[in-house]
Amino acid sequence: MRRAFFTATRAAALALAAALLALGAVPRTAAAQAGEGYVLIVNRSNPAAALGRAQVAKLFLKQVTRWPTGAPAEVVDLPERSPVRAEFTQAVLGKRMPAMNAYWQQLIFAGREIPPPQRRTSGEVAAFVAAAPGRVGYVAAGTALPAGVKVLKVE
Amino acid sequence: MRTLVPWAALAATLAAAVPRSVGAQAGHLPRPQVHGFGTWSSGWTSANRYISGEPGGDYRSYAFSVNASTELAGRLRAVAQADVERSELSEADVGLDYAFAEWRTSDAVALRAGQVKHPFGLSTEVFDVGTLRPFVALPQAVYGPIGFVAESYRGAGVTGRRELGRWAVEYDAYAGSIDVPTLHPPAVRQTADSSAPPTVVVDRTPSVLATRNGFGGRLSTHTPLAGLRAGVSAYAGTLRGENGRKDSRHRVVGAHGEYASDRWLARAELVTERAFADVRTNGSYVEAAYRVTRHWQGAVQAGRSRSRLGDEELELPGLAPLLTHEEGAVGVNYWVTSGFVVKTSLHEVRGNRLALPARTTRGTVAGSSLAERTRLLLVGTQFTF
Repeated sequence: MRRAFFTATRAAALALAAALLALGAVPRTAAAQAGEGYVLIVNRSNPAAALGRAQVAKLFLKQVTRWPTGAPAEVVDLPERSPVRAEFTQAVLGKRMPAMNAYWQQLIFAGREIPPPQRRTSGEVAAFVAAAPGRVGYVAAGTALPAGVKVLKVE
Repeated sequence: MRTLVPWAALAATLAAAVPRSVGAQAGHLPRPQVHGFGTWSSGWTSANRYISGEPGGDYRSYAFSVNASTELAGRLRAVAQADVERSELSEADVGLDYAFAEWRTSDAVALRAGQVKHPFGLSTEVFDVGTLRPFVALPQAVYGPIGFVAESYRGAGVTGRRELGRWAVEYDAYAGSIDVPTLHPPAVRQTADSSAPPTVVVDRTPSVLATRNGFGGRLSTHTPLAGLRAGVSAYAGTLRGENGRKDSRHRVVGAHGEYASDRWLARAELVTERAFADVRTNGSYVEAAYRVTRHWQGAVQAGRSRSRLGDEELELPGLAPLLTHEEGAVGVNYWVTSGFVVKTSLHEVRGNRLALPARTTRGTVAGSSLAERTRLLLVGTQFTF
């Protein structure tokens, strides 16, 4: 009888946990891709599940401004001094921060483009991405993600 | 009027941005952006005046620019940049670098109209941004007041970028008027006494090659090797005749190449120009810089420009140096941050096409009265924000 009680209790707990997860009450966290301290996130309405690294780089360098579906893309950055940004910039964009700054200086003062907006923390980035379709950003691995975003795998 | 117009244009852009920034804070509109850059330099020369140096030192060269960009609606945006500058060519002068509207129809095509940055070679669009080059000044053999390039054109153009697999092509095409700053090459005047040799007249008054009915373009290719690009540029138009000259064609063609990585920067450009039917000028340079550490950078540069008057070489005393500019330079930079740098460089110049006595505005040069060699020590700070 005691075993049946514990089994039933355990099953109820699992069912409750599953229900809470479905409702988003239990916070999800951004699990890093192997060996990386950042995770790429997109608005949940985005149909893409993965994107090539070169394509992601073109989005964040504003060389392309639309998703493969044709929908407008809106990128967001972390602050310049963020170690997460430094890692993402090196790994995905192929540049160190000084070269990245020079890239944006060239575009700004040539009147061709302006850098993406910045948010101070990974949490603010996640909230920004969740707020509108087409948005994409990156957050520190382990960041609690709101229901309006999903992880985009970088291939 | 020249003082009012640029500040009015910049103020209008900022004024349009202010109410939009309120809307932006409400989450409805993109936040407009304001950026800027500045430079101060001081130089000492062994003879003549060159860049911001003169014998005894000159501490008064500076420039400061403000850039404002705002999205008006959807893919339509406005950009303006104004500056205040004091250089060896002018006292403190307020100017409008550019002010234009851009409508981006797609990633591959954008239409521009107004006073637009002149797309030629590697650096015309960032002419005064000191943090984007290894020396205080751009290579003078191409970017000096030779008559090759302008900072902007007034008219309309199309620009864009197309991805072609691992390659990418950037292009510009435009039409309008182009005012090219120049120090005119010397003129040769035949005196009434035909038995006497012609005299060489030097005019160092800053001037402008006002190119009208101009059209031009630039094509740059980004290769699969990250940081390597190359391209060609050209423009042509009509120079209005003055001082008895007829209207003539002004044609400029150039080629450029660049490799830029985290540590290395290597650039080279070659330009050829024909103006007033009888003046031909060629200019070229190579430049390299290397980041030894995160903060320290070394740089070297070599450049040459040569003008030719008429179809035949004229053998006149004192003329050849006035048509020639040859320069070698070495420099050391300390990057406090990627937006603030202290630079020092040593330049060795031969020729008087650009290096002339400080007080020379207009006069007759006879024989070898000018110091043909100029050594310049240049120190400067440059920043962006």
